[in-house]
Amino acid sequence: MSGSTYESSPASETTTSTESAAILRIEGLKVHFPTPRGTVKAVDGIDLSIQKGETLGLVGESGCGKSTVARTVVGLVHPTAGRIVLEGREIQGLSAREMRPLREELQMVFQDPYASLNPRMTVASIIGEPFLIHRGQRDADLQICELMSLVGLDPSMRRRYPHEFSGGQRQRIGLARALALDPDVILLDEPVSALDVSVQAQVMNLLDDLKKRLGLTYLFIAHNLAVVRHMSDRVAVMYLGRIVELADRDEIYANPMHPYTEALLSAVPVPDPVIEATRERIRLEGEIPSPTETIVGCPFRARCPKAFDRCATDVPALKEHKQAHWSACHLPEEAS
Amino acid sequence: MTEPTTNVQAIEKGTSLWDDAWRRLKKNRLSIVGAVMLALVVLVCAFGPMIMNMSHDGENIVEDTFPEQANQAPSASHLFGTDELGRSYLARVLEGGQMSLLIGLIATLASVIIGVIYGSIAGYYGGRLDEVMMRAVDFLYGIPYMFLVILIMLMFSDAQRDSPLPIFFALGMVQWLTTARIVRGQVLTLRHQEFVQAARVMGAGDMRIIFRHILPNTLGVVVVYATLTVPAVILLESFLSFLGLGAGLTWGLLVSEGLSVINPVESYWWRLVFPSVFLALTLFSLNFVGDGLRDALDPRTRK
Repeated sequence: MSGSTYESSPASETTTSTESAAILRIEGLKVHFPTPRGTVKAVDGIDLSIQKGETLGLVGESGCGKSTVARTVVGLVHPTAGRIVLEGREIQGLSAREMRPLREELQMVFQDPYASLNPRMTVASIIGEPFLIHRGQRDADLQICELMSLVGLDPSMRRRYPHEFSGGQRQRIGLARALALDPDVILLDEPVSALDVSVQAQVMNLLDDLKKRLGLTYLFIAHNLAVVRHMSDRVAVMYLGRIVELADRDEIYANPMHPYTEALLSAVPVPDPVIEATRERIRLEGEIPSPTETIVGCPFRARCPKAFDRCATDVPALKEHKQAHWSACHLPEEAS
Repeated sequence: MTEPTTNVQAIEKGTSLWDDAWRRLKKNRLSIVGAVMLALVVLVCAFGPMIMNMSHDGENIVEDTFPEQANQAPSASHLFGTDELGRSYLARVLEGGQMSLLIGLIATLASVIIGVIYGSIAGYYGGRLDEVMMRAVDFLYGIPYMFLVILIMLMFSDAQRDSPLPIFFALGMVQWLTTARIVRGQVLTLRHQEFVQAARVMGAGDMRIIFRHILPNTLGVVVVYATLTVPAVILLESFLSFLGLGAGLTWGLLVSEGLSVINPVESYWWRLVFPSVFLALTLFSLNFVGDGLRDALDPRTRK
C-alpha cells in the first residue's frame, strides 16, 4: 500500500523492463476531437500503468480529460495516438466484435447513477444483461441474486425498476452490473461524485471491500482529493489532458511537487474550524486556456503562482524527480 | 441501505414506467371520457351494420319503395333518415366510419413503422448518413403535403382507387416524415446517455442497443404522436374525399355529399349533420386520449 513498493513507471517508450507486471498500461495516449473551432486535445500524451490489485487515483478539475481517458480505455472513444495494453494485449482501436471477449476483463462504473441505468428495464434484466450477451444465458436469476447480495442490495427487489431506488442503491446496481462478468479491472468514473456525502462513504467502503474480496484492480477517477486519498495506492494529477504529477498516495499528499497539485490540496477544506480559519490557501488566478488553443511552454503557466521565464518557452516533461515521484514542472530542476 | 439477504424466493414486483403512466392516465378524466367515447364509436361502427343486417349499397333497394323511401327525414324506421336512393343513412354512416377508422389506423401504423425505422437508423448511425437521410426528409417536407398526396393518388388508376390501398399508401407516405424526425431526435439524445454507453461497454451489439435500450425509451413519444396522427389522417382523408380523391365510402365522402344537398329549396340536414357529428366525436376523443397519454408519459410532469 505505502510508498515502499515502486515497480511501475509512467511508461514511456524507453522504459519497458518493469512494466510487464502491469495489468493495464497506457502509452502516449492522445485523444483529439476535431471541432469547427479547432482541435480539442482532450488527452494529450498520457502514460500510465496500473499494477494488478492496485488502485490508481486520477484527479483533475472538470474538463481536464480524465473521463476521456476511461472512455478511451473501454473503447467508447477511439484514440488519436498511443497504445492501450490490457493484460499484454493491445486493445486500442479494436472493433466492437474484437473487443467483446475483453469486456469480461475490463468493466466500467459510470458517474451518474440516474443516467447509467435503462429506466425501462428491471434491475434483474440490467444486471443479467452481461450474462445474456456473453454467455447467451437467459435465466441467470441465481447469479443476479448473488450479485445483488454482494453489493448490499436485497435480491427480492430485483423485479423493481431503477427509478424506485435511491442514488446510492442505483450506484450499487451499476456496480453489480460491472461485476457480473467477474472482471479484473474496473474503471470507476467518478463513482461517488453524484452521491450525498453520507452515501459516498458507504459506496467507497463497498468498493474497498469488493476490491479485497475479489482481487480487483481499479482506475479511480475523481475530482475530489479526499475521496481519492481514501481509495488510492497511487495518485496521478491531470491538467489539460496531461499528467502533471504522479506519486504514491502518502507522498503526493505530504510533499506535492507541482504547483497545481499544491493548489488542489490547499482547496480541500479541513474539518477543524480553527485550522480552517488560519490555514493559507492558494488561489489560482487566471483562466483555463481554451482547449482549442495552442499552448507554448507549460500549459499551467498562465495560472501558476510560481511561473518563471523558462515556463514560457519549454514544455516541462514528466520526470522522476524523486524516487517514485514524478512531476512535470521546471521548479525542482531550478532548485537543485 | 437494505441489509443483504439470501432470500431468493421473495420477489417484490416493481412498478414500471408504463404502470406509472397508466396510473396517471386513469386520473385524467377527459382522456378516459375520450377513450370510452372512442371505444363506443369503434364498436358501433364495427358491429352496428352487422347486427342491423343492413347494407349501404344499392342491393337492398326494394324497387317499389324506392321513390317513397328516398330522402326521408329521420324517423323511427330510419333513425338517421335515408339518402336520395332510399338507403338507410345510419348504415351508411356506420360503414363510412369503418373505412375512416381503418384508414386512420393503417396509415398511422405505416407511418410509425417507416418513421421509426428511418429515424432510428439516421439518429443512431449519425454523421454523413444522417445528413443525407434527413435532407431527404426536409425535401419531402418542403413540398406541400396536399400536393404530394394528390400526386401519389393520381399515380393510381381509377380502378385501383376504388380500393383503399392507394390512400393508405399516400397518407402513410406523408405522415412518416414527422415520425422520422421525432424518432431521430430522440435517438440522437438517447445515444449519448450513459446507459447506452454502459450497454456498449458491456459488449452489446448495435441491434441490441437499438431494440433493447433506445427504442423502448422512445416508445412513449411515438405512442403519443401516433395517437394524434390518427385524427390527422382521418381529417386529411376527408379533405381528399372533398376533392373527389377519397377512398370510397368514408365520413369525408358523406360530409361532402351532405354539404351538396343543403340548398335553399330543400335541405336534407341529416345528411350533413350525422356524419359530421361522428367525425367530430372521433377526432375529439382521439385528441383527448393523445393529450392524456402525453401528460401521462412525459417525464417532466412526473412527481
